Amino acid sequence: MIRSHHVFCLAAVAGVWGAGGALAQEATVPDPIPVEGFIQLMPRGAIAALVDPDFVPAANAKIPDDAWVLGFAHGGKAYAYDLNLLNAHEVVNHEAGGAPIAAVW
Amino acid sequence: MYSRTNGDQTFTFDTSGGLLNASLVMMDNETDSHWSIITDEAIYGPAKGQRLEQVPGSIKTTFGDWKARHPKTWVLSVDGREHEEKSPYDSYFASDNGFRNTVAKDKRLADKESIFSFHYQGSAYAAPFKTFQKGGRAHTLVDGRQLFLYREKADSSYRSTVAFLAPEGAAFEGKKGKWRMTKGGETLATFDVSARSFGDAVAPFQGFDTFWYIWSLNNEGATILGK
Repeated sequence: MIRSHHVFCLAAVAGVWGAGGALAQEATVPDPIPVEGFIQLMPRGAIAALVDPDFVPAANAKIPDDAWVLGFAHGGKAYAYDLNLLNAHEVVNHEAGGAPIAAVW
Repeated sequence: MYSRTNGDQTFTFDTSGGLLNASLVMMDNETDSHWSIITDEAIYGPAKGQRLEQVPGSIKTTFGDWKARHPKTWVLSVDGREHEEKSPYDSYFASDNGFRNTVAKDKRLADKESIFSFHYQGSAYAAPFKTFQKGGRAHTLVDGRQLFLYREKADSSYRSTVAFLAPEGAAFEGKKGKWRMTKGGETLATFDVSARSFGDAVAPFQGFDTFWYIWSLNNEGATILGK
């Protein structure tokens, strides 16, 4: 178990961010913040983070056993986030086991 | 996985649309500050300098494996879907190039060398997968404590490396691929390969899997383990 957000992918969102490149040409991209190494590729929120999304019990979930997930157990509860869904949103804001958390990877 | 609370404040995070050295940067809706998830801190805005607290207990694995461990798990559902078939990552993982051809300044490892990375006592560390993915490996850190790393060569890039920090005075010993944690000659726990765990004897150590170019651009002078 590691801090999974895992940054293999942080950058990696080649497809998602690639698509964002096209999107960015259509919308206004803000000036980059003055921090060395920072690049602004698209407008804020162009990839829509999730806030308090739905969760369903495993028995009702339409997800194959070989799908890769970010699993998180906390406060006596367990959560699974399909990595490809997570890719599409980058950040999931919700309460896990009573604690406000942000799932990223 | 991060806590969204910092002191009395609870944040809600949005995507910033930007990257810091090819890693994700979020913005919070409360102060409009920018937060880097590879440095765990706000890099710009009113919250600059504040740190995000990591919450342990996360792992990347298959849904079948996760469900077997946590039969009552809840599953994220977006617009009635719990799974997306398409992965945008495949071509990126297969390529030798960094995102948008970003390259490492530090050439001790190849740009796309897969590493387990972590911070310990204020310093950054990187352990290339190839140095420990065959039977696991133990490293002694600056304060004498031991860190055990394990993954298998056949593992998908998506599967998390598992890492364990020995309690003070304890050590990891491996013989013929079988690992145990000992103290004073006494076995405290044995490593269960199928569960990738020492059971309740030692909690997983928090770090993450990434590529060298990302880690080194954000952590100059990182110590490389297992060369």
